[in-house]
Amino acid sequence: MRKYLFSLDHKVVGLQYYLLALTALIVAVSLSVLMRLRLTWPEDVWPLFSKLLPSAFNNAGQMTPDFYLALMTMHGTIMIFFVLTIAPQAAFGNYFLPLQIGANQMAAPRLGQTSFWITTLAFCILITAFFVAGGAPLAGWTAYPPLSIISSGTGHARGMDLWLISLAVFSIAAILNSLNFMVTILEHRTSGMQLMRMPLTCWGWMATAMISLLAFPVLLAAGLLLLLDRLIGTDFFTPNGMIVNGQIIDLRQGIPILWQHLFWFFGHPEVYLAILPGMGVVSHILATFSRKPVFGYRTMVWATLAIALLGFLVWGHHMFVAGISPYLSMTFSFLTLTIAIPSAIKTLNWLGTMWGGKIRLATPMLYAIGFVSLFVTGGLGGIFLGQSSLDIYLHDTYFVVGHFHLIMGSAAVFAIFAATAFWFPKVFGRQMNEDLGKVHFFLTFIGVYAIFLPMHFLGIAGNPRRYAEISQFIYLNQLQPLHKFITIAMLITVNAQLLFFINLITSTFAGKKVNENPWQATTLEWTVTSPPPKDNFSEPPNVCRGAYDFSLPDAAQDFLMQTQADSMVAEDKPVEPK
Amino acid sequence: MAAAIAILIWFLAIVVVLLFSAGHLGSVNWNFPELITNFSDIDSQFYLTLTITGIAFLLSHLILGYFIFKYKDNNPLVKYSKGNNRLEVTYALGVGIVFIALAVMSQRIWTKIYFAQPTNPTNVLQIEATAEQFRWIFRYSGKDNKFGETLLELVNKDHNPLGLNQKDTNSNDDIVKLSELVIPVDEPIKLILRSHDVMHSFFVPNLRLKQDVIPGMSMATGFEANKIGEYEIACAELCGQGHYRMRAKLRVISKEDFNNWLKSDPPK
Amino acid sequence: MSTVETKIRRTNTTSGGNNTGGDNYNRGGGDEGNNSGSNDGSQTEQPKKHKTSPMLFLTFAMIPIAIFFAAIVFVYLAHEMRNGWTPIAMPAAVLASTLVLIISSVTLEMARKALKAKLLEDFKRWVMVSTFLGITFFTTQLIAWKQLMAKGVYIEAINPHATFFYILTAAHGLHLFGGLIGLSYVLFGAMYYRFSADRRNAVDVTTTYWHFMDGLWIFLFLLLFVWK
Ligand code: HEM
Ligand SMILES: [Cu+2]
Ligand SMILES: [Cu+2]
Repeated sequence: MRKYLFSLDHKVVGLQYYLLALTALIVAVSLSVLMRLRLTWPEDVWPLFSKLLPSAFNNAGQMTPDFYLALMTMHGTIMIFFVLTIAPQAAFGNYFLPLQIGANQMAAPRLGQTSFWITTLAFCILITAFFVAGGAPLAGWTAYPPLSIISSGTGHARGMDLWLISLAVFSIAAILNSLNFMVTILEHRTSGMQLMRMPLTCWGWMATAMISLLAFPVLLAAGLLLLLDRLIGTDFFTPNGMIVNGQIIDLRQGIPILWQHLFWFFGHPEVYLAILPGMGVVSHILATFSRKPVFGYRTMVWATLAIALLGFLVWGHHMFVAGISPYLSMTFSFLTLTIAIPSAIKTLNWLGTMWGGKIRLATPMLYAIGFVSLFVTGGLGGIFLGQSSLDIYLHDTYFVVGHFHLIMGSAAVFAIFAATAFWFPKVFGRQMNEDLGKVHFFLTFIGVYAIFLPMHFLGIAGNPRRYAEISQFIYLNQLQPLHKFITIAMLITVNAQLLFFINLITSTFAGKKVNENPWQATTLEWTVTSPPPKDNFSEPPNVCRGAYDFSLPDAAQDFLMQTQADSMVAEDKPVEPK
Repeated sequence: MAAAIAILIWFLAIVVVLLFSAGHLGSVNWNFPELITNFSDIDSQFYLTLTITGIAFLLSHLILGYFIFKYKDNNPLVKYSKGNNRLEVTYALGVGIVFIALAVMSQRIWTKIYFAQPTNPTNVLQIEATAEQFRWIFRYSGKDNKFGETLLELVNKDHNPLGLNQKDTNSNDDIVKLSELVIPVDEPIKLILRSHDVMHSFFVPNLRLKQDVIPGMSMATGFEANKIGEYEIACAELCGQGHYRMRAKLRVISKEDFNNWLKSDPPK
Repeated sequence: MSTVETKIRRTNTTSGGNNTGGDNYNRGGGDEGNNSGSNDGSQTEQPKKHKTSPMLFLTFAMIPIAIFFAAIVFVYLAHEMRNGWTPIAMPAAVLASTLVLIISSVTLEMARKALKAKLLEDFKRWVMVSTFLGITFFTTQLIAWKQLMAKGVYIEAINPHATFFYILTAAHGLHLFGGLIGLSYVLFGAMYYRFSADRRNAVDVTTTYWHFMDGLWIFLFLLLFVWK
């Protein structure tokens, strides 16, 4: 038991991260269900639940607006940090990065294990916030001061401190984990695995590791300063002349908007961090199941790096109407539309990969196709929001909520589904059930469109986000049917997720047994047994070609493993030394 | 299977386009709220962007579905292609030009909003809006055209919501209205925004206007309403549990009505 | 789908130069382009030995540390513009600690030189001096805090400059403490002759990190007390 919990094997660490992310996903989805129910039927009473958490309910037994905001804050925080930062990157990366580059372990196995446990600690701290006096924080996942500085009252007390501490701890873990990734990629590639021969998944992990190293320290610093403002009364972000709970707070001269700069300098790269590994996995899967090389591998690599770097130059698009200089807004608006170009190129390359291929619609491929569709739809929403003049109207409305849920809430989650179905045979030697997988794909794909597309309409109609109910405004009341539709679609879609979990659990024990390379893929992880032996490779593999040699003309078969020296396996051509 | 997925994707693409067009045609309630200013640039830029992204959306989904449908598992002739640099460059240039063109057009509107000077600056009516958890308080300067001094110490939720200092003679004729902003039609308004506590955001959907309010600073924004009627003002920046009910009324009335309203003491 | 029976042909050639380190990746492979054909796989290399170099870890670790401080400095610069910004007078101890830290960097470099020159006794002596200086630095920083507090200047004081002084020194101290742990490890190794001219990873890493922290402190010192 102890051996397993604190194992130094990167595969165990990867699985642990995956389980943590799955737990977090279940928690966060449950929170969103409560949220939608309160939003749609604010008068409903909850006899059972109100006994469990009395502070969240008013005397009539209805959920309070404070609790709605607390749910929202925790939902967003858990999703962003504990699902989308760790599942695609830490979970799949720890498991498959060494396998894909032909290494026997990560550069620093102990570091990997430590970062996992620190992350778990951060998660526990965050969850504790629900149960302390004052309850979970209500300032949103962006925690804008001065709202987040108020230190008494429901949603403002210890919960907010715990939230900040949790994120600080999380940042440290993320930085340590990324260090490990960087060094592993740079130093532990097996012979012949030049950078430009790496699978695109590895590029995705490398880009995210770079982003983490540059972005998380900023969150850490900002979070600690905000914590000091709350705990000992410094005034980094506390402005002068506020009346809070009837008390005047003056003699402060902090600058609240500084927090927004720091937070979004971290926050925007963070959302790319959530999507880049998914892009890598999807490129990988599209090539494998179209039996074609990735269309424009080199362009994909450059687009990945461009997105990672440009991602640091666009944070101001979250602040167009926050009172920054209008000139600054113009710059950020231009840069934001520029970063859309590499994303558009990626879309072209995904379609190009499928073009003329031999498409096998196994579940991983279905999820990958779903990803492409959702990414395009969500991404086009960004073209509206990146234009500062349109963002005046759309900012902080449901248009934004719809946009980022399509990209992060749906596309990135589809990438997680795709990766799970794709690599499941490698981890367990068994395949996930294809029929269940297909039904799950159909329901979820239609479901997320049904949930998140109408949110754009709400935004166009002017529905601000973070509203606990819409009954107070005449112009919003007429949107109630749309809200109801979204909630019902959400209930159906959430229940459909049971299929995925049933599939995951039953296939672990009873899935169809498969050989070590059921998808006929080319990368190194498919050369070892399933599950991989403890030390991965008995002798270091020697890589002779790029990652996607599918359907090479004249080759003996339609895929060539990266270790395969010669495309004409039958022939014995002498190897020229270099 | 392939046909099913392809049809699903095509079907979806068409439904999405139809839904958005329905909003465009104004036949459903999820359209923009009625525009009450002559400045309609934001709406037209929105529809332009909607058209362009709509085409991109439709094209990409039609192609996606077509590829799934066409290149089935039994395709004997797989195109061996590692990419096509000329295609990528052309495409990147094309997309880039469209995006940058949109950005330029959007910047034009932005500059109009933020840098255009009112034609007759003396004519501009100044109103002050103060946000606090969870209401909007408006103040008119009265006959003397001067706002009196306010002091936080004097703030009293019921009797003196802004903390007007009565010792300052400018304060005497200041008019304070809770949760209702009354303005004359067709007249440029300059709004000075302040906050008593946390951040709020002054959001008038009908004017396509939004401006965050930051405590410790005063921000200014300008607009002009060209249609008489009653509208709503919302708060668009999370400000605490009552965020969802931080509502104010916007009443646009004729100039004569407005002058009468100002003179009637205390104004209703 | 058929089972895979790839005949993986391992190349057993022993040609190819020795490929040490990870610096061969820039050469790229001929695996891109439209006509890349079958002669792609002809490159063979000797299997690399996988040894993680601590120096690379350090290089990457210094990036987030630098950015962490950069973020705080950004807040500092923004606050400098506010009215009523009056810098505190430099506590005398700060000057002393700055000098001590600079000297410790020099002595540590001497230690490394000595080790390279295989002068193990000198190495030991220099490390001892450096460790002593390192501890002195912490002591003098604490004295500086004491001096300030004696004047009634606390962290939550009305004077933001003092707040920044406390926070930056604390953050720097915390990071330097990591260096001190490394230094203790080096000292321990030096006493028992664990290091040699070609076994000095720990020494190199600690020294580099110490220099980095030294440079960082000089920057903070200039920021806090010189460029006003
Ligand atoms: C079951 C699917 C989901 C549903 C029904 C859902 C629903 C919601 C709702 C109703 C809100 C609050 C909007 C508001 O009041 O402003 C919200 C906010 C949010 N959601 Fe989700 N969500 C889902 C999945 C996800 C996923 C997978 C992510 C991962 C990125 C995510 C990230 C967020 C974030 C970051 C916020 C913003 C929180 C804030 O404003 O502070 N959600 N979601
Ligand atoms: Cu962003
Ligand atoms: Cu509000």
